[in-house]
Amino acid sequence: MNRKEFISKSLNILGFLGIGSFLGLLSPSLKNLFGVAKGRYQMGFFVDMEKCVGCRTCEAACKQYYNLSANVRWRKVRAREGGEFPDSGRVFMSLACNHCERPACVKACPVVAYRKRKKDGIVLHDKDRCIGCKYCTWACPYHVPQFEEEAKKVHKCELCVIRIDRSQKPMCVSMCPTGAINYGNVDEFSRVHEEVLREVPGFPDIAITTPTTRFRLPKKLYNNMKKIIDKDVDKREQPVRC
Amino acid sequence: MSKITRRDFVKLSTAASATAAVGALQADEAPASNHDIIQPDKWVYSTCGYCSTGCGMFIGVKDGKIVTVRGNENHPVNHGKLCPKGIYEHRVVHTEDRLTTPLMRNNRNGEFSEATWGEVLELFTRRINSYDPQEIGVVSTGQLLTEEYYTLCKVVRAGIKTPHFDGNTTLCMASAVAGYIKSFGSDGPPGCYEDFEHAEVILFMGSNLSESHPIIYYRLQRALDKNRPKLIVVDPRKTQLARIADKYLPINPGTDSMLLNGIIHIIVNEGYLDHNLITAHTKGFDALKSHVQQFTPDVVSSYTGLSEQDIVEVAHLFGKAKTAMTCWTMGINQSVDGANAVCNINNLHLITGKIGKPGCAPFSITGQCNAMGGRELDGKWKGLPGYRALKNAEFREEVASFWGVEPEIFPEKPGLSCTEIFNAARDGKIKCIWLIAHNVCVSLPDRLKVIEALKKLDFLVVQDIYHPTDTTAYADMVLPAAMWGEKTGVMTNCERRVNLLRRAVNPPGNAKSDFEIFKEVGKRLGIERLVNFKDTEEVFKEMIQLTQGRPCDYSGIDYETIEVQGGIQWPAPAGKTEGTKRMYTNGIFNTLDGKARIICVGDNPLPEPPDIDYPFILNTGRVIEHWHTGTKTRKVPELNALLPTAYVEINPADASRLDIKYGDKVEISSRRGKVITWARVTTCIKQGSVFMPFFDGNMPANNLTLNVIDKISSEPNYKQAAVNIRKL
Repeated sequence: MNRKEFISKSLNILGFLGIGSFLGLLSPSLKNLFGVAKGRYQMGFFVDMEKCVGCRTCEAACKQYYNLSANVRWRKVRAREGGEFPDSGRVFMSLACNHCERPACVKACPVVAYRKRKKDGIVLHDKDRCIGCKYCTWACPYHVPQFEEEAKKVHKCELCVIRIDRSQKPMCVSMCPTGAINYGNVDEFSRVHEEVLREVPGFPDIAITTPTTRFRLPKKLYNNMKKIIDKDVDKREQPVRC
Repeated sequence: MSKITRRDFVKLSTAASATAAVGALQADEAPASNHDIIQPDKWVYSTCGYCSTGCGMFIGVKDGKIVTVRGNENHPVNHGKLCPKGIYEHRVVHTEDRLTTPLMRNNRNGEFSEATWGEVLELFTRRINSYDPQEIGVVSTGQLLTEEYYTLCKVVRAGIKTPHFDGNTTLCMASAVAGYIKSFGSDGPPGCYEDFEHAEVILFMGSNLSESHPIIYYRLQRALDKNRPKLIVVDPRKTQLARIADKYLPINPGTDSMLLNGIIHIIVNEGYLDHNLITAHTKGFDALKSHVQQFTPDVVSSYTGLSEQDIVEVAHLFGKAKTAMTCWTMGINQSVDGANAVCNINNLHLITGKIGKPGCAPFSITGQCNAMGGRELDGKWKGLPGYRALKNAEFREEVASFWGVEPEIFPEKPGLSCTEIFNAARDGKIKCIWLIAHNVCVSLPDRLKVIEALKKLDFLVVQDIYHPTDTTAYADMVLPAAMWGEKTGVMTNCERRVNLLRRAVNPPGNAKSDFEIFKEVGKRLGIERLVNFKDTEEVFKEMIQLTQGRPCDYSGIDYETIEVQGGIQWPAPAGKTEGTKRMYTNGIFNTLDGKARIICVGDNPLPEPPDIDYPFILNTGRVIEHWHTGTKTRKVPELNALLPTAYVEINPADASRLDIKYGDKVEISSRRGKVITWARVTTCIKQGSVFMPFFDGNMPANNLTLNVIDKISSEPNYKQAAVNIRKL
C-alpha cells in the first residue's frame, strides 16, 4: 500500500466514524475530492407543506402496512394555524424519522440496536437487539422512536427500507393523495423541487443532529401562527410538538 | 497490499480496530427482518364501501378472514390510493358486535332472544300483512349493492305495496337529483373526474373535498400539478380547499343561489354566453335574463356578505374561461335552498355552454358509495327502476309489464320521504317501519323527535350488521346482514362508474346478505316468482334490461368486463365496449323535447335565522376519520386514535367573548335540544358560525338540527340552525 491509498482508506474509515457526515455538509465537489461519498448518498424525505392538507393518510398507510398498534405513530402530522378569518388557515407538517446525519438515537442506544446504513444513510433499528430502555426516545429531539407498551420495545420509521430495496416507494409517499411527501437523495431535491429548505418554523434546531428531511413552506403563511392542539381529545391538554 | 512499513502497519491497525468497534453500525447492509407485515393468502377484487369516490381496492384474505386491504394500482379512479378510512376498512368486518343471528323480543323493554330465520321471517311477514300498506314505511340506505336495491324495490312495490319507501339518500343527494331532473330532464352527474384536468376554472361550492372525498381531492391535485386550473372556493369555513384556492368566498350560510344569481347577472350583461347552445338546446333564457337584472353586485353583496369586487371578479373568471366546472356537495344540497341552488348552477353552465365538453360540467359530488345505484335501480320514494318517475303512467306500465304485474300496484303519487315517514310515525299514521342499514337515531335531523317516533311504533325491524347500535335499541326485531367483503354485486360512483365488489369471505354465523333477506321476505309475501334469483349476478342480468334505452343505460356490461376495465361509466348500452365519460355531448337533454330548462331562482331565506336567544348559525358536517354515524369507523382503534369524539368549532373572537378556551367543555342548545361537547377554537370559521361533525352518537349534533325540508327535493336543512353556546 502506498501512502495515497492509505490516506484515502483512513479517510473512509473516519467517514464511517461520523466524520463523513461533517464532510457531507461540504459541497459535492469537495466530497469527491476527499473520496468520501463515492457511490454513497443520503436518503431522506421531502415534505411539501403547500400541498399537505392534513388528511393523515400517510400516518394510516404506514401504520396499516407495518401492522402497528393504534397509538404508535411512526409518522405524525402536526398542525399550526393563524391569521384572522377569512385571511386565516391551517397548515400541516408531516414528519417521520429524519434519518439524521448525526443521529442521537445511535449515540444513545446502549445495545447498538440502531445503525446508520452505509449506502444511503437510512437509520435502521433492530427490534431483536432493543431492550426497551427508551434512552433513544429521550435523546431524539424529534420524538421519533416510539415505545410500544405491549412488546416493551421501541421501533421507528426505517424509510420503508424493505420496500425501497425492492424498488417500491415508502408507504407514506406512495399513498399520499396530494404528493406532499417525497423521498430520495437529499442532495438531489433542489433539482426536482423549486424551494428546498432545511429548516422551517417549529422544527427543532437542526444543529443538534443534522436531520435530512427537507421542506417546502406553504405559499401563504398567516399572522400569529400557533401550534394547534392535536385532534386527539384525550391528549388535548398537551399541545402537539411542532 | 504489497509492502507495508512498520509505521503504516501501526496506523492501519489503529484504524481497523476503530472500525471493529463500530462494526455493528455498518457490517450489515440489509435491514433486520423485524417487521410484522400481513401476508394474505389471496387478494380479492373489490371497491371501497364508504364514500362515492369509488376507489378500487383488493381485499386481503387469510384463513377465511379479511385481514387487510390495498388500493388497486390499475384502477382508473384512485390509481392505488386510499384514504385513512379505506386503509382500515378490513377492521370493520370481524368485530365483536357483528350480528350473527336474528334477534327478537316481545316487549320493548325486554331482552332480545336469538331466533331462527324461519321464526323471524314468519313473524315479520305476518306483521306486514296485518297492517294497511299505508301504515308501513321502508327506509333503506345508499350503501347496499345495486342488485339489492332492485330486489328490495320489487319486494316493496309488489310485495308490501307501501308508497312510503325511501332511503338516507334523501338526506344527502336529493337536491342534486331534483335539480338535475328540473334542468336536464333526468338525474346523472354529467361530468367525470378527468374533467378536472381539462378545466381552466373549477368552482367549488359547499364541498370540503379534502376531508369528505380525499381521493377525489387526489384527482384534483393531479390536475393542479398538470394544468393549474384556477380554483374558486365558496364555503363558510376556511377548509383546506379554501386555503389553496385562487379565490376564496366566505359566503353567508344559505345564500348560494343569490351568489349564483349575481354571477349570472354579470355573465349575461358582459355577454359571456353560448348563444348557439342557448337557442338550439335550452328553454327559458329570456326569463332568466330579465330575472337576474335585479341581482346587481351590491344587492348580492348584501345577501352573501361578500365584497362586490369579489363577486365581479369571480363572474369574469368563470365567464372568460373556455372550460369550467362547478362541483358541489352537501353545502348546497342540505338546505331548503338546495334544489334551487342546483338549478342555478345548471343555469350557469347552460348559458355559458359549459356542459358536455371536456372540462365542463355541473358536477355534483355524491355522498355514499352507492347512492347512485339506488337512484338508478330502485328510484326510492319518487321513482321506479331505470330513472323512471312514478308519476308517469307510461313508466309504470313499462315496469309492470317487464315484471309481469298489474301497473295498478304502483302508487301514482310518491309516498312520504325519509324524514316525513318518521314525522308520520310520531303522529301515529305509520305503525311499522323496516329500517335497512340506516342508523336513524344519529343521522336524522331533530333526532330526539325521531326517537319519540321510534318509541311510538307498533313494530320496528332493523336490518343491520352490528348490534347494539343507537337504533337497534328501539327495535322489536333485528335481522343480521352481511356487509362489504361478504357479498358480490355492483355500486355506481359519482362519475357514473359501475364498479364491482366481490365476496371475499362468508358472512358470520347465520347472517345473510341483504339480497338473501329481501328474497326470503319476498317469497313469504307471495312474490316468489319476482325474486327467485339464484344470485346477484342473475339480478344484475335482469335489472340492466330495465336500463335499456334509459339515460342510465348499462345494459351492455357484465361483471367480467367491469373487473377488467376497473368499472365502466354509463351510458354503456349493448354493443358498446367502453363506457362514456360525459353526458349531453350532443346537446340533447333528457326532457321530452330534448331541450334543457333554464329556471329562475329567487331568494329562499333561512328557515331559522339567528336571533337574540340563539345567536349562532350551526353548520354540521363530516371529518375524514369517520364515516356517517360512526357505526363502522368508531370501531377502528386506529381511526379513533386520530379523532375519538366530536367537537365544536368556534371563532376566537366569539370564544373569548364567551370565555371559552380551546378544549373547554361547552353546551350547545337549540330550540330542539342540547348537546355537550368540547370547543375547538379556530380561526378557520367565521364569527357567528359554529361547526360540529355529526358522526358521534354520544355528542349528537342532530339533537340541534332543524327538521325542515326543501320543498322540491325533500332534503332536510342540516346546514343552518340557530343555536346558542355556553361554557360549562
